[in-house]
Amino acid sequence: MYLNAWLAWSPEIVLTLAWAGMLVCGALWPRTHPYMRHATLAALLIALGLAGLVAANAHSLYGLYFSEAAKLDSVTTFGRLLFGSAGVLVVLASWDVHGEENAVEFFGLFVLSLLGEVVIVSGQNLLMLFLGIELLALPTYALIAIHKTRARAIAAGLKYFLLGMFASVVMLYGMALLYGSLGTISYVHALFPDPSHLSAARLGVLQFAFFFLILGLGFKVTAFPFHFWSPDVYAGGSTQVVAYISTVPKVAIMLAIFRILGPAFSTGYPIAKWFLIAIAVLSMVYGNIVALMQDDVRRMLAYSGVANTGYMLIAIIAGGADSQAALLFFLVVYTFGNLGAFFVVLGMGEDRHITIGDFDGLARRYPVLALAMGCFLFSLAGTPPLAGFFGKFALFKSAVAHGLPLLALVGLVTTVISVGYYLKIASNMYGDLVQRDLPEGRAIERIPVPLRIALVLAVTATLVTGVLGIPLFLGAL
Amino acid sequence: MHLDSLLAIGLAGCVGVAFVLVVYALVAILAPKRPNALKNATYECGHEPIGGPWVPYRIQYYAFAIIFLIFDIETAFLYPWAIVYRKLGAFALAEMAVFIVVLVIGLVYAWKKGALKWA
Repeated sequence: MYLNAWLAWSPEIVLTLAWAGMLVCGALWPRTHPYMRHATLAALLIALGLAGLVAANAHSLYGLYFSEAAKLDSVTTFGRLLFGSAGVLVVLASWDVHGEENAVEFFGLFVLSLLGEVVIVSGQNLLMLFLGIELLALPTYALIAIHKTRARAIAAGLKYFLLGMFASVVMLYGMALLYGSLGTISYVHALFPDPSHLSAARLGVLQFAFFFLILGLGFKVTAFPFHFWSPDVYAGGSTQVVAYISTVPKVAIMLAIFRILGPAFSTGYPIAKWFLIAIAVLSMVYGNIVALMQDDVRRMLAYSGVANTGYMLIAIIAGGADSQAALLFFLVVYTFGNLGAFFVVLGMGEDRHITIGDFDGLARRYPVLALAMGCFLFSLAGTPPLAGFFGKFALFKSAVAHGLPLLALVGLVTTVISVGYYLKIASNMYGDLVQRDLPEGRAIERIPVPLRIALVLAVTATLVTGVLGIPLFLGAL
Repeated sequence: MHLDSLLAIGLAGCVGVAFVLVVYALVAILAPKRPNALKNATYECGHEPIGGPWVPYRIQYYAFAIIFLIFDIETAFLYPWAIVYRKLGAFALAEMAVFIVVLVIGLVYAWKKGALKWA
């Protein structure tokens, strides 16, 4: 029994030991600072391998652990593998960026936040969810402001911290109300019971609880009315950190929302469902329209992230096994597309805002970088040969299959709008191939080799998921 | 439907807000106001005030407070553990060892980074 638990959670144990080792070595021997990145990369690769081994022995290791507080199943494994791979890419992208001064803090906090994400995904009660979200969020507040000399980063970190703590408190209040009305915090079985078994008073409290819970979680995934922090934080933080917090934490919390609400929506909570539908629709419409007006690329990607949250929420509202498959696929597509787009921005220079004008003529001067950016943008936009198309197709199909054709229609229309701003960058990059004498964009310093590797891996992941999506697409026809 | 329960919550909210407003209004109307220099001065435990309270504090207070808090929680956690220790045996010992090792790692880090230095 104990041995099984050690084996089942070995990836997390490896990461925890790596974190502890890095913190102690870094504090005692400053000479070890340049090797923190190697240690993090090694720990992540070992953890990924162990996660794969655990998945291979699913029949003996999958199940509930720690008094039903954590569940090891295919979703947890999916999370481990996705967070681990995204973590490897982020470490590669940060290879040369972080000087020896901040290496311990950067990589230590990074590993801690990855652990928090696994807690969120594997957690089976609201307490684990809250602890996981805090373990994830507290390091990311510090990571945003890791450059102590950059005023913009400090401001972004402070804003993220204050608003994030506020959202956490609201969410905790919702959890307390949930516990008060249901008498349980565990969602091993469906957290929300059949509404016909509940008294009217309890149902009323439950809807308030639901509202606060969604408010807190919506903040973390940048859903529409709670997204307002993301453009400023994304524009102020260091790019590789923003690449990370715009993707992996969102994926983790989306998976947790699916665990909690998936069963609830199959039994039906009418008012709560409309609340979530409103958030999804507003996120898609607002995110895409405001993204059209942005000039700063990081701000544009922030609003594109708001819109993508709306697409993810479609799967949660639809509920059911096919929606879960669609959501997982879309999360992979979004993670690598968004990471890649931010990595290209990182490659173009860290020192100032990168605007859409900076992409002028990129294809002629840096054809490979432009090709990579084009790949990420068209995947995010959902253009047919790339992964994003199959992701969105699966999401909209699951919405139609669960009787929500209007939601799919909104998704479709806003996707068309989103092509506008993704295409704007692409046309800037490739514009001067057809028309000469356009203004020169900005010159780029040499892109470090690890970042190149990260870009190649992200492109590969986008293309491979695209190929894997074809059977999904054909099977649906 | 369950509108009556929502009504109850809404009423409770209204009464809560109204109570605060009424109390503040009563204070504004009823309380006698005879300010003088001594009354308006900053309260410093009965001492003569040296200056206003709006001065920048050293950031070290904050670091010290956090480290203090960690060990505060550790103590609070150790008491119930000591009571059930005999019942749980070696398992409890191992669990507490892990907990304290994690805390010590944090302390070593903070110490080496100079968080305990008043400089």
